[in-house]
Amino acid sequence: MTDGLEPGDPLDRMVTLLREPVPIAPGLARRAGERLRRQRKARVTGGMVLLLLIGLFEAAVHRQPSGTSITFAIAAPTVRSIALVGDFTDWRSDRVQLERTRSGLWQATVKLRPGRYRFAYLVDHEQWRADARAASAPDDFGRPTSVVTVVGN
Amino acid sequence: MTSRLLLLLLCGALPLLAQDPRLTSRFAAPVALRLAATIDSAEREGLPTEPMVLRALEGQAKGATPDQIIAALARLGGALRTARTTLGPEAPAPELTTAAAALQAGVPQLRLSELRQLRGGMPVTAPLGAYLDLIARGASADGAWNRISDLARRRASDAEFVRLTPTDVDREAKPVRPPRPPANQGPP
Repeated sequence: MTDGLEPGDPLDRMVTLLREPVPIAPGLARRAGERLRRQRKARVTGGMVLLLLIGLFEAAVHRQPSGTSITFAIAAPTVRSIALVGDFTDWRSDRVQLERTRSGLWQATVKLRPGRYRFAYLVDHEQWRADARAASAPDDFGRPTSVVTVVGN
Repeated sequence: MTSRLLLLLLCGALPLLAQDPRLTSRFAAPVALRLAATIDSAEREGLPTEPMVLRALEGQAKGATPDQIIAALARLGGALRTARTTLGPEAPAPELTTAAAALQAGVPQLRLSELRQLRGGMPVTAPLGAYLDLIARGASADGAWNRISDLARRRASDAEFVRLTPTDVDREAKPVRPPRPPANQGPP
């Protein structure tokens, strides 16, 4: 009996009816459980695929050197080594070594982002040379220096 | 009292402790500290520090003395400051760097502000760089400026500026001769 209601009151019968356990069709609970498990699995798989895609995208962005390919070249048939040194190598001579071609031309290609870069060639670890094809730049340290300007695509 | 003094000294030295690792790895500690102090001072003014770090590294690579490098940084800092005054406080670092290079190459400050006006909201990095390159390759300063300012007025793309050669400037500068009338006109 419901509090405050007389036995046989329609409202009391309704409340009693609502309180009775509801019969569930055989297999419904099992099917509902399976469906929930499938949904959860799909969400986990979708999340993993999304994470994988994000990872692949990040890896592609970081592995592929961005920028414009610029080929630096200098003719020096009789020297032993030439390093390309500049703003883009933090002025380190061990980052980009030019390779000698059969014609005695030395060249290297590097990818540079848009900007204006000072650079020079270090020949045989001791002699600084400017790039004859590039514009020269004023130098505070009395060495030949060139400049290359790279624009975006 | 002593502890307060030590604390003040430590607070003053903290920015120097956070100096660029490229400097600490290439210079002896006392030199790196001097460089960091100069660069730190520029940073406090809101100037771009990367060109200063690169100039220090360039000096080291080229065998310059610490005093030469410090002097070069001071000159570059001054040029960056003038560039910012000319181009405005909102000018991005690449613009300031190129403008500073222009000033150090002897380009009048007036031309920087003129170029800024001609370009409107577009960056002046490419036109200014192209102007410097043209002069360095032997074009006359006035001829190069006429060509650059003409392109800037027409809102040309960065690539159009960079493609310019001294030959383009010379071709533009030469007066165009009017076609000479034929000396002997034959029968029609």
